[in-house]
Amino acid sequence: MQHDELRHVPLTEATFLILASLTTPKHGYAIMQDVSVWSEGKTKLGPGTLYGALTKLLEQRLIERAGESGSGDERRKQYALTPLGRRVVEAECERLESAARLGRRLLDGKDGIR
Amino acid sequence: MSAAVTRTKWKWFWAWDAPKEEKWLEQMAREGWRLARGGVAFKFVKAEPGECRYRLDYRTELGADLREYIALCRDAGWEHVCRFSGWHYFRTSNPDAPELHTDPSSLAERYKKLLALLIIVLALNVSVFNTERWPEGDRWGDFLRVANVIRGALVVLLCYAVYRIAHYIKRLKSDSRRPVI
Repeated sequence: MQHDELRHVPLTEATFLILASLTTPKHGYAIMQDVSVWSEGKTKLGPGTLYGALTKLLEQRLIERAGESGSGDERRKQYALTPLGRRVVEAECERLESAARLGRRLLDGKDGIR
Repeated sequence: MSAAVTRTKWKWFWAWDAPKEEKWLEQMAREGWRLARGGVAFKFVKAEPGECRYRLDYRTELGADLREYIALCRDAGWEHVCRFSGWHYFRTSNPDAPELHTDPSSLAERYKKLLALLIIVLALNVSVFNTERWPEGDRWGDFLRVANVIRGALVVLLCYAVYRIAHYIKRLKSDSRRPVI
């Protein structure tokens, strides 16, 4: 289906950050660090919550397993966006951008409807 | 090197009382007892008294998935202490380690898995053995009559547990002021 990605938006803030983080493949803890840095510590993702989200995103085929990084005790499974996941992130960016444009215009005292 | 000083304490906690159990373990740590084995017969090892956090997590993952989850928790600063059936005990003395479940609704998901299991066990026990064919005093008939009483009691207990856990799930969900996932 062509507009499959629209079924998944809007995303919650945490889901958006997890998906955005996976534009380059990485392991779970690296996602936690990304989310913490990007939200300036405001959104903290605990391992239980993150693991639940990853399981759900795998089921929805928005992300996929992407091999392992490191070796021995440091070996970690990696995740990456699927083509569908990438389209979902793009759709969400467009939604946020148009909402932001509308909000700006109204704040500037211009009519929102054009 | 002398052998570690240990002590065993018998204590029962209901699944929906996990926060109470966590607080008790934290109090034990303050008194200098580190958890070594959880469940019902808790085993503690003598240690330096200190502040730490304990968290219980109900997991249904097995094998590689479970190892992956435990590794993720370790990365986030949580030590996997022990497990008791599906219950996993985690500990951290790092105040910066995030909660295992920063969104209570992901914790509620764990309890839903436990609830599903209890409902299956409950469904399997809602029936009685027909004992009419066996007269009073017949060994097999008496065995079935006793089994009926035990299963009846089990059904009552399970109904109570299902009710309490369903209630706990509802409370966790209303706790998630800001849905994360």
